[in-house]
Amino acid sequence: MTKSELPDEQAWTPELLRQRRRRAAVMAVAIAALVGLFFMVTVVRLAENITQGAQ
Amino acid sequence: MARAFSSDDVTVLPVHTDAGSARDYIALMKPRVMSLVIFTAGIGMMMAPSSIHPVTAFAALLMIALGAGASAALNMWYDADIDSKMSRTALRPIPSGVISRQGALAFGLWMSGLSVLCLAVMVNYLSAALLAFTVLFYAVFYTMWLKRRTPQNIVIGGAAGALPPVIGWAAVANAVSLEPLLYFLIIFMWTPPHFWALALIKKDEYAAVGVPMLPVTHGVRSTCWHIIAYSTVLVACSVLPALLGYSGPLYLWGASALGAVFWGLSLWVVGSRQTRAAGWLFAYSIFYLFALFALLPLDRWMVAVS
Repeated sequence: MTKSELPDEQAWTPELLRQRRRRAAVMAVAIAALVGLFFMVTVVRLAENITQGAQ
Repeated sequence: MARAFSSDDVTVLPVHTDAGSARDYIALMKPRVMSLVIFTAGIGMMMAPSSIHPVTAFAALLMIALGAGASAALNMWYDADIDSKMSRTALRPIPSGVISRQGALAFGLWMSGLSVLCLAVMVNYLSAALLAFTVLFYAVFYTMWLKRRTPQNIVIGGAAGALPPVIGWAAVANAVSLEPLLYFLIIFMWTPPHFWALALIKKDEYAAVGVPMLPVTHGVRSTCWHIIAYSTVLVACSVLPALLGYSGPLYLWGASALGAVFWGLSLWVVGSRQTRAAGWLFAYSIFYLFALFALLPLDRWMVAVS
């Protein structure tokens, strides 16, 4: 049995490749959003610390 | 002589392609359950005595939702064999072949780790620890151990679904007091009649896949009496926030009215033992929990303005 005949393998059809690209794009957006969220939470925490330090 | 291994011995799942779209991965996280988690966690955050910056609150809710979604993905990974045989779950992403079991496992593990870690870094360690406990309890203790072993599966396993308001509270207050534990108790007592109403409708399917739900192991009559017993305790627990002085008259009367309908529907299930009655109780129980928890901040707001 050659590798391509294995029952749990499928060839990468143009449709599957398109879906993979779409998934990768969604993943990129999600990671960018997470980075943005980390940045905003950091700014909020810094601001809170500065406010507390000023009091 | 050993019996020959036949195709009946294995559950045949579709050939996987891992061709799932973002929508399929969202479906893997049980979005309807997630909406209830977000809602009750949000109420826990609103009711906490201190305040939190909206950005941090958003981050906390997002991570709690991701944690809940991750445990749902792990649940679907483990239960793929029985999901494919039940009409209610046959169209889930793994049985329908759009996401592989390995893909669901990897997604669930990564999301679990990510949500707990981010909650710890962005909010606080207590809420992160509670979220980690919830994910572990649901994915390991309930899904892998309780669900297929005992008819008390959803009674004990319900603790996982009852924790989100406590996590929300801990995210804001960085502590846990009696009040969020009352919210936990309400959801904990709500879970059995909610799921047993569904199990009454899907009894034959649960029996076919060998999941020992109460109607399968103890019959319809016993399940109906369990439903009325838990409904009675639920209605009693639902008014505790008002009786202990955490909520005002709006919550007390609202919870009493909502509880009276819940109890009435439970009585209907006991009296008729019809799937139609169980269907009504199941549908109403979802509305009941949303409405009951919505009353909490509404009541506080009413007390504040009056």
